[in-house]
This record gives sequence, C-alpha cells and structure tokens, in this order.
Amino acid sequence: MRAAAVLSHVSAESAMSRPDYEQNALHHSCLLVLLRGVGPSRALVLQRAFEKVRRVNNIKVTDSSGVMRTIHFRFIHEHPVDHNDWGDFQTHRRLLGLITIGKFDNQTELNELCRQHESLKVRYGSTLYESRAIFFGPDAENNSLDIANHKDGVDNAQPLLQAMSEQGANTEAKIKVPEQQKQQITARLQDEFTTPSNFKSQAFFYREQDAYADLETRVGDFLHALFWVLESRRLERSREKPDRVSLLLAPFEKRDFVGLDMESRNNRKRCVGRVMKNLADLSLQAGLLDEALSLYHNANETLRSVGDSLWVGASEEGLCACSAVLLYPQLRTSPLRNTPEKWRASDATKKVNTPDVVGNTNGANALTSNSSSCSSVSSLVTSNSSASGTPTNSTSSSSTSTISVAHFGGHQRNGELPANILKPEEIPNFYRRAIINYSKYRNAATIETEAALKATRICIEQNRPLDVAMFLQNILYINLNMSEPDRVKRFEIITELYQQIGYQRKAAFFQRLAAQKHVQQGSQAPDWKQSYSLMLGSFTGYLLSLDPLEVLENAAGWPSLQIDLVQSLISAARRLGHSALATRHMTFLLQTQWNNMSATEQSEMAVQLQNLSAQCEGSPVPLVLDNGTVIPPANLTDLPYCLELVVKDMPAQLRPLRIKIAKADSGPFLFTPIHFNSVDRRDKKKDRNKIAFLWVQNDLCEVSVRLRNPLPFELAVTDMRLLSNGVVFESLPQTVVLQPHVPTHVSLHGTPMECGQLDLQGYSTHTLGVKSNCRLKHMHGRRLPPNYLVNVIPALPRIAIKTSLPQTATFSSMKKADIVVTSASLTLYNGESSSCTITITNESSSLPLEYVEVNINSNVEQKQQQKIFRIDDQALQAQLPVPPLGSIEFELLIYADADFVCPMPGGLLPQNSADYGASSPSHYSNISSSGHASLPLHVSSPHHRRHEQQNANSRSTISGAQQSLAALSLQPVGAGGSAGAGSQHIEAQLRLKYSGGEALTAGYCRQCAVSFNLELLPSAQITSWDVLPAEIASQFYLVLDISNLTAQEMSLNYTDNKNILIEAKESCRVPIPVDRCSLEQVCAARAAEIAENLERELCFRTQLLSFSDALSKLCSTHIAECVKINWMLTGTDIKGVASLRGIVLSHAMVDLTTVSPLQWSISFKDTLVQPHSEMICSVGQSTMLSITLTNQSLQPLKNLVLTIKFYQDYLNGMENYNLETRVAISGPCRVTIPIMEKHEQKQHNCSVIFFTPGRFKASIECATRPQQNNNSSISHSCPGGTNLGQLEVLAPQSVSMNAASAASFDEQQAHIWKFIPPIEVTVVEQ
Amino acid sequence: MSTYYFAIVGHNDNPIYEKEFSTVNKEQRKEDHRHLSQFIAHASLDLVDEHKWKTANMQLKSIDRFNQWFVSAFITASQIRFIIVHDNKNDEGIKNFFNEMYDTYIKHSMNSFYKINTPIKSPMFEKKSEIFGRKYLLS
Repeated sequence: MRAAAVLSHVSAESAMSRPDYEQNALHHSCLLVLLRGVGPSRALVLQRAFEKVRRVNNIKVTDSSGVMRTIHFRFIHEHPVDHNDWGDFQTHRRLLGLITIGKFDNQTELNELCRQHESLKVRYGSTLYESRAIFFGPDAENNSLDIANHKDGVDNAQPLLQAMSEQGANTEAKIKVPEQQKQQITARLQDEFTTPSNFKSQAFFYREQDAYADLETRVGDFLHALFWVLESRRLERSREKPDRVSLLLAPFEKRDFVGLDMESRNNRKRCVGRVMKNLADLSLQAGLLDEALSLYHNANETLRSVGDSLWVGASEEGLCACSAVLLYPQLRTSPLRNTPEKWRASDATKKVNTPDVVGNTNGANALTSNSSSCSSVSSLVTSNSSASGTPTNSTSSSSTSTISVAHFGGHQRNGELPANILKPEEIPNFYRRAIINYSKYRNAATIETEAALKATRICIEQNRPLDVAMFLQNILYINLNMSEPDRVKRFEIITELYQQIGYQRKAAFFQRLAAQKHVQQGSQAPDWKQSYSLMLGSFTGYLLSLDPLEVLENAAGWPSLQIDLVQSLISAARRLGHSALATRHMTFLLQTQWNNMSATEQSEMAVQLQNLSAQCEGSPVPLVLDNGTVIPPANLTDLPYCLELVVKDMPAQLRPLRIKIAKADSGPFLFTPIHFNSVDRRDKKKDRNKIAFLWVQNDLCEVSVRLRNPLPFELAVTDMRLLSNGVVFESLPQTVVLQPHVPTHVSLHGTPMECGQLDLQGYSTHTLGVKSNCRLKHMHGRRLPPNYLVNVIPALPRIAIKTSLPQTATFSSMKKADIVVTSASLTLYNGESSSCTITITNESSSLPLEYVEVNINSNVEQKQQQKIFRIDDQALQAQLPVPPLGSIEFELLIYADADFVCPMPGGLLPQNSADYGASSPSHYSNISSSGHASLPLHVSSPHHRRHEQQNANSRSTISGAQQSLAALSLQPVGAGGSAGAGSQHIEAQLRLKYSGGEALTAGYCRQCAVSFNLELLPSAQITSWDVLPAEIASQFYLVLDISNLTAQEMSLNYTDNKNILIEAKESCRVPIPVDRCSLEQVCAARAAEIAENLERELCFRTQLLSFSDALSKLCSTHIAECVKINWMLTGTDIKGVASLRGIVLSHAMVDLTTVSPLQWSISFKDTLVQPHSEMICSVGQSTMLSITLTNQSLQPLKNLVLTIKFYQDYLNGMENYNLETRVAISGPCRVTIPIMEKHEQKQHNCSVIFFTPGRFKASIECATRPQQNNNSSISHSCPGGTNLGQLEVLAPQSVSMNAASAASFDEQQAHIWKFIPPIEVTVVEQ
Repeated sequence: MSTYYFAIVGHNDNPIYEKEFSTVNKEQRKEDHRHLSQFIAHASLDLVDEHKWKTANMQLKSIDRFNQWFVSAFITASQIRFIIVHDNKNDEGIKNFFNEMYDTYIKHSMNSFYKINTPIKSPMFEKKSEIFGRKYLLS
C-alpha cells in the first residue's frame, strides 16, 4: 500500500502539525466552526451554553431552485492555524466560523473577553467568514454590589441599574422571565457594559440565570450566514472560466511549481482538475451531493490523467466521503463510540426502532438519538423506507446484508441514490488508493493518517474487521513527524478503534504501548497517571480482571504477559505516589499469579510486597480511583497456605450435652420406615460443612488451622482472626511466625456473643504488611468446604469444683477422663468411713446454676459402688439454684467397703458350687468326722499352713480328700504376696451435670467430673472360718480366724462385750455365737428357688440354680447380717466395721447354720442327754441308748441313714474309731429310714456295752444320700459334657441310686445332721 | 541474523509451548526481546481468530506485523494456535515447520496422559521442535 515519497522534498513545516484523530468521512461535508470558551475558565457555568450551541449542528436551507439542503456544521474546540493552509486542498479543513462563549462579572473582564475574541478572529482571519460572541453577564441580584462598584465608572447606568435590580428581583421571583423583559435586561446589560471600540463582532449578552431560549435561533442565524457566504464562494468558483482558473496548491507544493510553465496543457488540466475538486468539496459542504459526486469523479479522471497523485488521492477521498455521507448518514450522529463491534451485526438486524435520524431538523433530537447510535445500516434502511415509503435503492445496496444504503435525508431524490456513488465495498478500495497516493508525499503524512482513520471508521461501520486492522496497521507505518503526546494519542486512538471492532488483545497491545510511551525514558513530563489508567484499561485484553477471584476462576490468558502488565502497573502506581494502589496490585499479583511464578520470583515478589506495604498497609477494602473505577480487594488467601482447618469441639468438661428427658412412648416400633422430616435430616448429614457439635454463647471456642509457609524465609502472620457470618462473634487475634515449608498448627479462638448459627468462613491475616481475608471458598485445590456452620446454644454456667480432700498426683485412667476438673484422693482402711465435702462455685457472673445432677461412676460394681459412695441428693437439690458467683457445698460419704472374708482365688468358686452338689459323701463324712466337741477349732494354724504349702501348686481344686473344711477358707491375701498388694485401688468419678439460664430451657447442660482415687488398705481379714455347733441348738458358733493386716495393733470388738487385741500382722481366732437361720427362712428360700428354676426351665436356660446355692447364700447373708465386727486401731481414731458379707459356707456348714430339720432326743440309760452332761456307766454293763428323731421340717425326709459310732478322742487330734475290742452295740448301728414324713417320729433303741474303762464318745448322725435325678440335674448344669471328669466320678454313685425321681431338692444333696455335741461317756471299772 | 519466536497457544490464550530460534548468540540477545515477541504474538491472536474463519487452510500465512516483526500463524483442527513471530520472510520454511510441528503436536496430544490445553513439557517434543526449527527456520 505504501509508495515511496517521490515528489515531495519540501521542508516539513508545510506539513500539518498534528493529525485530527477524531475525523471521520462525514466531516468532509461539514462547515468548521470554532467554538471556544474565553476568559477565566468557568467550564461548568458555561457548559449549558456550549451544549445548546453544539446542538445546532445542522440547518435546513431552501436554495433558489427550491431544493432543500441540509448543511452540517462541525464545532471544534481547537484548530491549529496551519490547518487552514490546507483549505484549498480540502475545504472542510478551513475554519469558517467562530463562536466564543465567555462570562464576565465586570467591565474589565468583558474587555478581556472581547480582546480574546478579537485575537482569535485575527488568528483565523484568513478563512473566517463570520464570528459571534456570547457573553454571560453578572446575575441581576447577587451582582448588584458588583454593579454598584461600577457605578462610578458607568454613571449613566444609574437609573437603569435601579430598574434592573428591581427586574432582577422579579427574575428571582418568577422562574421564567417573559421574553420581552429579558430582552430588556439584555439590552440593559449590553448598555451597562460597553464592549471596547475595537470589538467589531456581534455579541449576545445573557444573564447567567436566563433561559437564553433565543440562543439557538441566533446561532442558527449565524450558521445560515456562514452557509450563504459559502454558497456564494461555491457559485463564484463554479462560474470561473476553466481557462482562467489559478492553480490551487497544497501548502507544501508552493515551491514545486515555481518557475514551471503554468500554461502547459498538462498544468492547465491540473489547474482545472484541482479547481473541480475544490468545487466538489464546496458542493459537498453546501449540501449538493450529486454535484459533488460527479465533480469528484471528473476531477479524479482529470487529475489522474496528469498524474497529480496528491490531488487524485484527495478526489478519491472526496468520493469516499461523499458516498459515505449518502450511505452512512448515521455516522454523523453516532461517532461509533462504545460499540462493541462483534455484537453489532447480530443486534442490528433486530433493531427497528430507529427514528428518522437524519431528517431531524431539531438538533436536540439528533443528540438524543445518540442512544440509537449503534443501529446498523440495515435497520436504518428499514426505518427510512417505512417512514418515507420509498423503496431502498436495490442496485446500490451491496450483497452483504449488513451493508446497505439509506438515502440522505435532506436530499430531494426520492430516496434514490445517485448512480455514480461508490458502492460500499468500493469505499475501502478507494481509501486504500487514496492512501497510496498520499503516501507518495512525506508532507501529506497527516492527511494520510487522517484518511486511514476515516477509512477505519467506515470499515467499522461496514463491519469489516480485517480492513480495519489493515488500515490501523498502516497508520503505524506512516512516517510522521510528531510530538510524543501526539504519538501517544495515536496509540490511544488505535486502541479505541480496535476496541470498537472487539479486538481486545490488539487494543490491549496498543494501550500498553501508549502507556509505556507516556512514561518512556527521556520523556519530559512522564504522565504516570495516564500510563496507569491505560494499563488498567488493557486488563481485559490480557484476560485479566480487577477482581482477583474472577482471575483465579477464569485461569485464562498469558501468564508471563499478565505478570509483566501487573508489574508495570505496580511501578506506575508507585510513581504516582499511590502506595495503597501499589500494595493492592502487588497483592493481586501474588494472589492471582502465584502458581505461574517460579519459587525465586515468588519470594522476590513477597519481599517487594513487604516493601510496598511498609509505605501503605494493604487491607481488604475496595479502592476507588478518581475516575470511579473500583479496585476490588485482593487477599493473600494462600499465603500462608492453609492445609487444613478444623473446628474444635469445646473442652470435654465444658461441652454442652443434652439433658436426657424420658422419651415419650413411641409405641412398639422402634424403627419406622416413614421418615418425618426425613429429607431435611438426611440432607443435613450430607453437609460436610455442618458441624456436629455445639458451641456455647460467651464461651471461648477454638478452630485449629494448619498452615504452611511457602516462602523461603520466616513469615510473620499477625492478627489472625476468624471470619464469621451469622451470629456476632468476637474473635481473638493470634500471631504466629511460620518457618519456611514447615506445616504449623495455629489455634484461633473466639467467642460467640449470641446464640444461633455461626457461619465460619475462614480467617483474616496480616502478613507481609497486608491484611487479607482468607475465605475457605476461595481456597482451591483442597478438600475444604466453603464454610463451616456451627450451632451456638445459649450461654451455660460454668462451675468450679473443690473438694476437701487432697488432689491426686496421678490422673484417672477411667474413660471420660477428659471431663475431670479436679481430683481427690483418700486412703481408707477397709471398713472405715469418711466423708468429702465438695464445693461447687458458680463461676459465671450472670447465670444462676439451676440444675445439678450428680452420679458416680467407678471401676467397681454398681452394688459395691453404692455401698462406698453415698450422696444426699435431696440436700443438694435443696440448695439450688446457686446465684452467680455463689457456691454450695455437699457431702459425699465414703465407706471403704471390701471383702473382709478372704476371697476365693480365681477359678475356685464356680467349681466349688459344682462340688457342693457332686462331692462324694465320703468327703463329707470326712469333714463331719472332724467335727468334734472341743471348741477350739480342729484346724490349727500350723496345720493349715502345711496344707497350704502342699496345695500351693494345685489350689484350683479341692483335691485332697483329707482337706479339711478350713481349706475352703484360704490364706489372707497379703500373707503370701508382697507387702501392700492387699490394698485395693478404686477409681471413681463424681459426675456433675449442671445447667442454668436459657440453656436449661433449651435442654442443654454441661458435665464435669471429680476424680476420686480411693486406696483401700486391708484392715482386718477373716482368713478362715468354721461353724461349730453351739451349746444350744438354736445357736451355732462362728469361729473366725481374723488377722490384722495393718501395721498397728488392732482392737477388735466381736460381740457386744468382747474385745480382743491383735498385734500387727498377727491373727487370732474368735468364736462368735450366732442364732441359727430359722426354718421359715429356709422354706422361703426354697420356694423362691423352685419358682426361679421353673422359670428358668421355661426359658430353656441351661444353668439351674441348685437349692444348696440358695441356701448357702441365705446362710451367708444371715451371718453377714448378724455378725458385725468393729475394729479400731489402737492409738488412733481409725475405726471401722468389718462385715462378713460374702462368706462362703460349705454344705456341712450350712447344715449347722440352719436349724436342723431333725430334732434329736437321745436318752442314755433312760436319761435324756443334755449337752455337756457327763454320762457314766460301768464296764460290761449294757446301757440303753435310745434315739428319737422328729422331722421338724415341712418336707418329708427320705433315705435317711442313722449311724451310731463310738470313738475315742485322744485330744491330740487323733481319734480312734477302731473300738471293736472296747465297745459293742447290740442292735444295728446303722439304721435306714426310707422316708420320714412331716412331724413323724422315729425311734431307735440299742444297747451299748463297754468292755474297757475310759472316755468314749458317740457320734450319732443321720445322713441322707442324694438321689438319682441328681444326675440329670447335673448334666443339665454342665451341658456339652464339659465336666466329663465330674460325670465319671458321679456315674457309679448314680447307678447305685436310681430310686425316686421327683424328689425334693433336699434329696439331691447329701446332708448330715449330727447330734451335737457328741455324747461323752465315761466308762468306769465296776 | 534472524530470530523466530514460536508459541503454541491454547484455547484460553494460554501459551502451552514456547520456543525461540535464533542465529544470534544467546549472550547477545536481549531478554526484552522475547518479552516483546510474546506481546506481539498475543496481540496477533485477534487476527488469527479472524482469519481462521475466513480460510479453509490451516496455514494462515503472515497475518500481522509490528515494526520489523511479522506474525505467521497456523491453526489446528482443534483450534490450537501456532504462532511464529519472526523478523525476516521465510514463508516456505515456516510452512514446513508448522506442518512438522502439527504432526508432532498431534502425536503428543494422542498421549492419554496429556491434557489438551495444558503446557507441553515433553522432552521429546522439545527435541523435535529443536530439530525442525534448525531445519526449516534457521537453515
């Protein structure tokens, strides 16, 4: 497109100094009027006047031939004088009119205004046709003083002034002054202030508050005047004889033609062509478009024939302009601003609302139709055709639908376009040719540039982006000598045009170039402000947005360019001295481009940010620029990088719990498939952000955040706080210094001040000098929900607990140990009682403590626990409520409950119970044999120990047949083991549920606990026991071996009045007379037993209780109830009670403990034997022994065997039963009684003869044997043959006894009832 | 001396591959130069997008220029844009280079581990582009 500048070699000054970047093709048809404000700038005041004048931009003129012409005017603000020199070349460059608008307050100012007007007139004198001045005088009222000041100067104004001020008052009162009055005022104003004598122009005077309605008419008149002058010039020109015309020259051509033969044919043609072109320009301006067109065509041909490239170009441009005027009249009213070109094509076809834009005579209408400026050509066609009813010229409308033609409104062609008009698609070509022609002349560079811009604008209108790009690109290559600001302006205008066709990236490129030019090195006055706003403007082109979140979301664009741009922006902001902006942009850069930067860049930027923010701290608030642009906040969301955010529950002892309320009976269905509110409930579960636990109003809550510092240096994060929505939340600042690349846990705290739902959104930080709001929803790439929702319940009271006991050193190992707030430890001897005072202080300053629920949990069984701890709950409840900061006390009674009876070693007990039922009678006979009359226990301690040692390895079974009854009672716990092993540790928690205030009504409470550490030391222990028959049948002796396991001497009180002292670690044996267990109790026990077993049988439970179990339990409890052993450590006040609870009685013992079902009545030598009575008989004499048995029990007794045996007791533990040589019994010594009914009496008599003297004893006993169905019951009790060994043992016996089946439970066991004490007979020699 | 700046641009105007070929020694080259090339390449995308609908060819020829730099472009079927910013005319070489690179790119994009529109980091690709650059652009 470019051609070398061949013809021009003239100095540059004749070139136009600066291009008019705003020009478009239609301006060729306009008359140029300079509209200038003069005097001190009061732009705002005069704005209305300016606009009014500007609105009159066209006039309608009916010429002599009756044709209506529309003449357009272009008001400009500035016009370089040298542009006028190009007036011959292109007439629209000539300044034809001048309007100045000024405001004055006094005569001096008016003079100045006049002077300025005149000087402008002089300046543009060569081309100016006419000028007008519009002056605004001082307001009538408020300027009266001013006027008064001028009084002296203007004497003759005195009376007028008077009237004027009155008028002024009128003006004030009425809003609109009648025309006449106003005229008067104007006249007066004019009179009042006189224009200087050298002021020759016509001036209009107005007051500021006037409506100046006639202004437009006056301007119209002025424009008419301009037109007529122009028209006359045109006519003059048209009447010139072709042979007389002078050569018209472009300014730089003047020297080219010096000395050339003007009369040559070529030059004549040149002259004619140029004049013709000139005439065409004038015709175009005068509204004669057809003429202009044909003239342009002619001129073009003429000039081309002589090779006058410059003027050929001009005529081509003229053709384009003329065609454009016809084709695109809307360009006049719409300078195509703000029209994203990409939409136009599609939008335009739908738009049919455009009124007849061009036909408007009223300037005001034309201005308002700006809004429809983006209407396309086609829409205009439709509107035009519908309005005027004339069909569009189909020949001239191009093939592309968007480009079509509309007739020129004022034209009298009935909508038909002239035939010689350029087709739309030709216009760019003509422009291209014109530009090529222009480009041959270096001095025509400005013309060329302007032509390119005009072409661009036409192409934009035609929607030909590629042509636009081509023309715009060409502009860059035009070698134009211009100032830097103009160069920048050129970039800016290119940017704007690119933006209009939607080439955002191109636009951004040039915008950035412009921005750089503004501040490039060597620039005199770098304009950082401009540069800044331009760079900001280029954001869209680089797919950046001011909002960092949007940028992050889009994640589009060229990162390195984006970084570069933002960096330039930062430095521009810094140069501007706007450090807040610099900080903001730096933050933006770090936030959005973090991932696109290398590690070193990251740290560099971070350091830079630190430096920037040192000047102005960044905070997450939008910044508003002077031009209204809002810079949204940028946050360092990922600096430090949040790895994890965990909402913490409250500490266990402060955690709110639901107070359990007994649920309303919901019927037999625990599960129902019908979910009420099921949708809600399920949805809630899905919510990851919904926190399951609760926070409490006014209580400190915690969120734990795991942060990583991605920078290679230490990062100090200060003022970290939680960000929340919803209820009022007071968060506490936290400061942390993060080591590079080390994940660090940070706890953030805060207090909800209300109850309701708290929405935790993230946290705020202050790092690198920037405050940031780091919201979870903006943290990408992690599995974090957008927020956390925590329910906050009403405030709960807090309590402090104190105990009167010392605290423990060790902490509880029980579960729920986390709710323990304090601890207490206590050491007690078994059986000792103590108490602990617990003080509850309500720590909350406003809430009363209204609800307290106490319970105790421990590692011992519930039963035992109840014995150990006791609380008077009623007393506690009576003290409620506790006022704020008040306190209450309550007592916890502690009793050191323990088994004083030596516990059975593990595994022994269950077997024992089985043994009871199954043990062979021989075993028991052995046992019974050991029972003798002497009160001291038959098992002495050494004996016992020996057994102990023997059986140490086989303790699990009672194996030895000789094992005495005492073997059942085992060694004291502590005896064999290490010292202190006997102490028992009990851990317990006293759990308090408490609540108060609103939370109580809402059903919430808190739970805390006091941990008790109880050490129970062994005190007295019953190491072994036995039951001996007492002197009377209603009693028996319980003989206990009691050892003192303490380290002190113990005083033992075992009956009402018997005391014994036991040395430390010693034991002693005490007999305690106890009443026997009555038969009624036994019967009740039995009945209960039967019932129980029946039930069990029904339920197919395998484990049947045996009656003996029940009975032995009964006896055991009976003993425990009856016997209380009080002990006291001498020298101290430690005392306690040892109970015999849990004592295990063997079967034989049970028989002794209960009242015997058999009543004995024995007479020897016909005298009833009394206990301990001495019976004497002589050797060889037969003595009658009569035994009478009565069944006292309620059941019949079966299979009784009465045995009488004599023996000799050597009192050294040896008993001799082999007395065949010493005694003889006549009659059976064994009598079997098959059945003995209730209350039945049996008598057995026999006689005894003693052969030798001595002391004999008789053991008379009655034994029952267990029966057959025993077997079945046992096989019941051990299903699956687990106890095979036992079964084998049982087998022979069960064979021998297969008699009755449904026997009473009594018969399942072997019983031995002895007559006690044994009869003692002293046999003397006769 | 001639320099070529080759870039593959993804759908979001994001460069997925960048490479420079130059006969000039690395020491002599200015860093700024590459930056400008990037800007020019980015600015030319508007024209690439305009041209790609105007022609059936994948080769878009020289579509833009700025000062002494020309921009040639190539568009793949999946609308991935190949851009070369160069400072001397070498239409034939560029055409061949584009064709070879297209081939290479297609092969690379067949890799199921490569996600379209993400930066290409394959050393193989790098090597190939090096070879083709030397062969067609710098020779």
